[in-house]
Amino acid sequence: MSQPEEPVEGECVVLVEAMSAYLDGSLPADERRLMDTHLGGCTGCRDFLGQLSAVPVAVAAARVQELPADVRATLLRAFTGT
Amino acid sequence: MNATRVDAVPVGRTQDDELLAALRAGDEQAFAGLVDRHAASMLRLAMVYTPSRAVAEEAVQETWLIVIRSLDAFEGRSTLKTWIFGILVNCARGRGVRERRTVPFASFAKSELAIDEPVVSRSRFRPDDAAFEPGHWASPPRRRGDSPEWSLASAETSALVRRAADRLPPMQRVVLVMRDLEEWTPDEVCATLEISLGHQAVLLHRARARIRTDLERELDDVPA
Repeated sequence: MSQPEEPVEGECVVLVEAMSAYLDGSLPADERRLMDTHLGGCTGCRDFLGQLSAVPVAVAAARVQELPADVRATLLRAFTGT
Repeated sequence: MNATRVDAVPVGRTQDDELLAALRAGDEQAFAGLVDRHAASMLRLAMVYTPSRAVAEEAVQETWLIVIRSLDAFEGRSTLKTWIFGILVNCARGRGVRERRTVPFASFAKSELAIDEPVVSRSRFRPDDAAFEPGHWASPPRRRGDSPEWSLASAETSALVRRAADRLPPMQRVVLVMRDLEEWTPDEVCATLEISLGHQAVLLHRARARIRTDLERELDDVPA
């Protein structure tokens, strides 16, 4: 997204493509400001961003998985050559 | 070492050197610590490619055995972590597909990215030539992201997200897991998969957006 001649209101269809970058803080400052302004006046994009931001949180919640103790022991034996 | 890399040696790299020396000297505690630090994450990543936990565990074991064998040959061009996980994703991929061809990730990424995939169907926006508000939402999301239906505490939502993630194309899935589950930096993802920052960013956004679309369909009854 680098179209400086676009009006501040922006076009939702284009801005949704930059939402992850906005969420992750990787947009350049001027584009972030454009996005801030747009979001202030557009419930569609605000709600889209809200829904999008729910995804990484839900994904992070899936963290479980531990390595079984016997596997760990096997690896240690492999390392020590015993 | 890459001569164009400037800056002081990053802290991680110094710790790597000490750890590497300890491992090469046969320091069991150093190895156990390394396994403990990464094993759970390796298992989760392996399961991106092989939903069977047993096969994923095999891939993790195989990876560590390769690491042990290759310690002396490791040249330190990447961090230990990047190196280990690079081996892991290749082991996991090798076990996850019927044919054991290995296509470089960069090629995989390119072919996935070659397909134009808007994160929201264009039909949900007003056409570019509309007289009034071209390009704006015509069918906006029906619910706010913080509405109870989108609550992440719900087991139903978590299950939906997991199922949606399982349906993702492979490169989107691995980038999503690395960034949003394992919380790697973009640079770590790019170094392990050998893809560009730009590709990594697009893959992540598409992955999240597909899951959002699936959730919207299930929770809010909105067709894609």
